[in-house]
Amino acid sequence: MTRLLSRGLAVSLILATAAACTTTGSGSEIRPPLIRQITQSAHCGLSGPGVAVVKSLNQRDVLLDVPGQNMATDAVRRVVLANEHLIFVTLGQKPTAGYSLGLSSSEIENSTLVLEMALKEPAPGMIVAQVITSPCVVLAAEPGQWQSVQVNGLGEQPIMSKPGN
Amino acid sequence: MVFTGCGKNDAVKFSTFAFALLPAVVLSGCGSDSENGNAAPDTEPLSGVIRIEANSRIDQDTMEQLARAGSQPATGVQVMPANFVLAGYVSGDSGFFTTIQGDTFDYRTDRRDDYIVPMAPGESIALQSFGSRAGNPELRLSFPDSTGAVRSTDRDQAPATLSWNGSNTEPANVRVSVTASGPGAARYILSKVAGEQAEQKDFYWPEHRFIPGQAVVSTAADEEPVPQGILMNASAAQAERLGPNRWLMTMPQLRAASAASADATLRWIESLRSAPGIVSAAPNYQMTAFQSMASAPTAEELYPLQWHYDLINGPVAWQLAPDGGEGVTVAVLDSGLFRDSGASVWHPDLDANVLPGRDFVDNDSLPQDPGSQIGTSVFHGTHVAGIIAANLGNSSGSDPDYGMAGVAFNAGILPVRVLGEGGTGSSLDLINAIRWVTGENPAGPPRADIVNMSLGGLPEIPDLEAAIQFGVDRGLLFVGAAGNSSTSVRSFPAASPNVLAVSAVDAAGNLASYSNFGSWIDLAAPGGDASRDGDNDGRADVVWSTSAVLNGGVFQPDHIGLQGTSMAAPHVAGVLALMKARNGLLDTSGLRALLVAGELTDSQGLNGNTHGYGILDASKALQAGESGIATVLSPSPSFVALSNESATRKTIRLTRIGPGQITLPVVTRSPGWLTIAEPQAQGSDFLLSISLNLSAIEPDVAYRSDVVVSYQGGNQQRTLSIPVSAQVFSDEQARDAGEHFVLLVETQPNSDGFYNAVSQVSATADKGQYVFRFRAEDGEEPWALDEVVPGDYFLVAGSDTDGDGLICQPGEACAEYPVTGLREVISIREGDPLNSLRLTTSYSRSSITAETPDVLPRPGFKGYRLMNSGSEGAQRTGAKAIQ
Repeated sequence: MTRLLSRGLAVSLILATAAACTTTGSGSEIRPPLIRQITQSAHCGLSGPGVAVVKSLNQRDVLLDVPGQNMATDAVRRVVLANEHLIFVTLGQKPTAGYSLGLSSSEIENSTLVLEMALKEPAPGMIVAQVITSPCVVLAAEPGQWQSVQVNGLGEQPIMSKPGN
Repeated sequence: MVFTGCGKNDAVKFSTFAFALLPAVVLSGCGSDSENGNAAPDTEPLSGVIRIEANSRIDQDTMEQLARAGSQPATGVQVMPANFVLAGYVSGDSGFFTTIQGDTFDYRTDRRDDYIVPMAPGESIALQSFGSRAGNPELRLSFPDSTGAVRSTDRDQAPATLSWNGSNTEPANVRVSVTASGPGAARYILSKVAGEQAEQKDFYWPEHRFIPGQAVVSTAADEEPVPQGILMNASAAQAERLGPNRWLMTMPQLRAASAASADATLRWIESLRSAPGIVSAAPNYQMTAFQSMASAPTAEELYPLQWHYDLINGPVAWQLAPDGGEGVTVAVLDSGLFRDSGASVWHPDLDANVLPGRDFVDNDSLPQDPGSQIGTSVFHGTHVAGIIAANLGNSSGSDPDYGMAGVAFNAGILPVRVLGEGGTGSSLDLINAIRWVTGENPAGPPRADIVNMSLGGLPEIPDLEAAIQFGVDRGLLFVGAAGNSSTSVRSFPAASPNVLAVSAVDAAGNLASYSNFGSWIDLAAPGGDASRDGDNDGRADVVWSTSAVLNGGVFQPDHIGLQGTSMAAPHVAGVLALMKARNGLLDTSGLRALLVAGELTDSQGLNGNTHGYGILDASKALQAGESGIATVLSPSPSFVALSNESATRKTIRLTRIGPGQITLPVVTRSPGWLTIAEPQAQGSDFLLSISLNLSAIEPDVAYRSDVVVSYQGGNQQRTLSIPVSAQVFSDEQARDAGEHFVLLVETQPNSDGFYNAVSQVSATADKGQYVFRFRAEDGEEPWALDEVVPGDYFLVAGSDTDGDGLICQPGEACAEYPVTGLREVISIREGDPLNSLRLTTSYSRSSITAETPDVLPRPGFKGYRLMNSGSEGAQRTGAKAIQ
């Protein structure tokens, strides 16, 4: 008998699953927050697509302490959470190498931080390494002007951060 | 406080800082009992004698002795015999530490110990340090009266040895110094031994690795399958026949080998030994008597994580192929290999096996994996190459077993880079790479014997097929990853009929959730599944191998766990390298014949459309082709030590290894001090009995020679040499292993891993032995440490050279009843005294050999904790404060 790893389950619960959402209004005059990309990785060990906003060390360590990940964790740990929140955007488990994720643009709409992501996939006809990967990008954003995060570009539907995050 | 003993230690005074770890009762030297070496009167509930191993000596100023009021570090020298094993203690400064009992202990300065040792030219002396709770100072070994070199060592280094190069051919009395050159204190062993003892100098408790959840069991009857009753007695889930009367048993509800904890496995094995129908039970060690731990991947640091090697029967295969695929080259068509920026060597676990390769991405001759520009890389090619042929025995800092080893740990790795940014590449680069490896273009001899392709995603391409066919025609073997798309759609190059297509399984042998499947799969191998824990070891089923991780902003060599059919294929490539080293003629058609015959896998015939012909079995694969497999005799034990104190006769079992016939062996050479009976056949084995001719050897002289037997094995004339040592010891009266504490301890460890002591006495050496005696509880308050409450206990004893409250640490003497390393429970019952018990104390620990298979490993064993007046055991029995 096999069993699912509890850690894997815990991680997937933290990450929001894809959910339809509507955005309203676009006439905000608010200055976009300073947002910067901390690191990208081909293999973050996070198995589902999603977004997580991290405000505490405990939350951060749950995501960094995933077995098998190969991320620049020291760069992530250097972010001072009192000044910036971390945003983990994960593509989920992919069957091969050749996938990557990056931040294309960001804006605030009605207290929602909207992130446009650039997704790269292996081109047809290429040979690819047959290793399971889990690409992700970790961003740091100034808090204050936004209450939730919406990620576009990972699939057909936007992904929203969990309420309260 | 003052404690009153008897005999020569009458009115011994103890300083207050020595608290109650010091002798609770000093019994030796009292009256005629000890004079005669007899045990105590039968009215005592427990008494006995502890013999001291030959040549044991003790430093005259150990910390335990310095703790006595008024004691000062010795300024004189101690005179040693020609052969000795001495436990000592030096300290470069004074200070304090907290004992395991939670007390503060002041240790004293004792920078130097001097000895006079008879040394003949060419003889050497060895110093091994074990550090202490007060640090790990550097110790220096020197001959201070001569201009000889000084050797240094500490706990983390190999023993220091010094050879005597005196001009006189006669032995000289040489002053030998052991000096602590820095702050802190250390226990040490200074030894000059030969013969039998030289082969047994292991001062650490055995911690050999074994496969959790498994036991090798001998049964009284040889019935197949093993009777259900015996399985029930053994609490075993299943039994795999290893040979006549021998079974590999698995703990219940565990399909995979590493599913149980080491402690649970050891307790299960102990229970097996008393189960009806079972003659013996031992852990399934990842070694044999014929192969040292250091010669197989089982010895490596990461092996406990590498469930994937157990799943393919790696430990058995490495016994059959100890050469590790030497002389075979595996081309790794992948993303290249990791190399430190600016370094000239590859990953330290690969470098020794890496051959000059080719980079078809950058079109140069340096197939270095630079990592991905976007996102951190997993260094895929490095990981794949490590599974195939990471080399053995790298050290890093103080870790002699750094890292890991590959399936074919001596095979050559030919790195060929065809995957570039992000782990992707072009089919054209792949085809060109195959042509380069096979010697098609540019024309030349093949550059490899085996080609691993942990890549895919292509349709069938005629040029690719032609390139592979060219290699197949030249005898190359091709292995490919089936792909990770959970589909039955064929993925090339793995799906090529000339390539072994490998699907991936988890630690329970189930198809990985991502693995491709279909009728085109040839076989399955471990690729892992991070969403599962198939072996219930609490860790995700990922495959561990070489890679690099970011550290301080730069990538550094390391190891990570990954999953994919990319990880499954190199297991197959590694096993093919082991096979190819034994049979250079093995080609693709021969390999397919073996596959179809079920000779490479754990099952016969096609096993559905997920596993092909089954899961790779390295052991079966190596036994598959008889070509290149010799028929030989293997001796057990492989080394024989005889003495008047251990055994003067031994029977050596010569076991047939290999498929051929063997003639009756004939002894063709042996020393005059041995009497040897002609070999006798027993089944397919032979028994050779040898005995020591005591009248032919001088006391205290070490003898060593070989017994040589000749035989015909598989139509070849062969000779086998079995080393034998012998010695008659005569120093019995002079032996001293230091003050001994004798404890009755509970039979189960507490939550800290210690066996609680419930009663304690101490004894000093007298005429080469210790006499001890416990008292029955008298029911009066206050209770004393030496009073015994009826119950079940282990009886143990040992010295506390450094005064830290623990006995039996490395560098200290230790005895267990009845045999050290094989402790058994004794039951103390009211009115049923146990007298005249006999134990033997020694600085060396029982090692696990073919001769002593019943000794179990002691992973993490820290020693036995002494009692003081505030200890748990003493409180339980209401021990009185010692006045």
